[in-house]
Amino acid sequence: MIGNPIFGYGLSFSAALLWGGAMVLVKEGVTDLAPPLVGSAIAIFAGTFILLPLGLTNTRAKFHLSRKVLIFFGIAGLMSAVGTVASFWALKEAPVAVVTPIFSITPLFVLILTHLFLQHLERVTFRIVLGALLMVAGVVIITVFEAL
Amino acid sequence: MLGVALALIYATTWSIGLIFTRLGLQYAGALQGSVIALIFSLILVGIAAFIMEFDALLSLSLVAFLWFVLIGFMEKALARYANYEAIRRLGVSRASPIGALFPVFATLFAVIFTGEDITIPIVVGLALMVVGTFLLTSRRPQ
Repeated sequence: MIGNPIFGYGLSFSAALLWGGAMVLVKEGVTDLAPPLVGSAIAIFAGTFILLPLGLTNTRAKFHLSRKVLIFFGIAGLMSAVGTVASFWALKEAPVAVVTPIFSITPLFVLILTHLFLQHLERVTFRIVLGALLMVAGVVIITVFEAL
Repeated sequence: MLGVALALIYATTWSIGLIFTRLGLQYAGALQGSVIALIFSLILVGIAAFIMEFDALLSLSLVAFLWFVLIGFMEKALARYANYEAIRRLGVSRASPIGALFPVFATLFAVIFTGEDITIPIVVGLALMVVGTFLLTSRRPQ
């Protein structure tokens, strides 16, 4: 960990709060206002437009535009693009309370991939695995019972 | 069923993206990483929207445009930067489960503002997720 972990956890919770609110707005938007692909494009455009000036002027943080940086964040961006369109479309097809918990399977996938590919950077402990499994169990309960 | 399948696609692609984000954060800050990722996202989705939904783009209302701009501000700018910075500080294996708590907030907001039904399985499921988050974030007893 880097710096005060409480600040890091606070940032994670803030992200969760913002994402939660955005999901409800997405649901209303793709149901009544625009197709998922159009909504995704506008949302991504807006996010880029807002962050780009900040990113270019923030000289305090380390930054070296190397091939590795472009490849790693480029792939992250492409995966995010596909995921964004899929999430917007999913919210059009099903209620928020059913779809958004399924999004939470992500930590389980992340743990598996972290263990396979990022062992040199992070250690996956039993506590982390147990916590993630409980979260996935919550997802399964929600999706199985809502599908019945 | 389609909604569930699409949600699973999101979970898969997003998790792969987070792994590459973690790799990239060795060499760049969270803000710069967010910008680069967003640019690549914009290129892909922008081209797809232009090709497949050109008519919808042309007929888009101002309300619709501003609605999704607000979503972009909340989700793509603020939340993404906060998440990337959290990953940098905590590591992806600790940060991503907490970020994945957003269904709790989404469900609460959906019930409060849009009248969606909250059922017992949803409450039980969300409770498990909260316990899981607690395990993830609490320190191991000395």
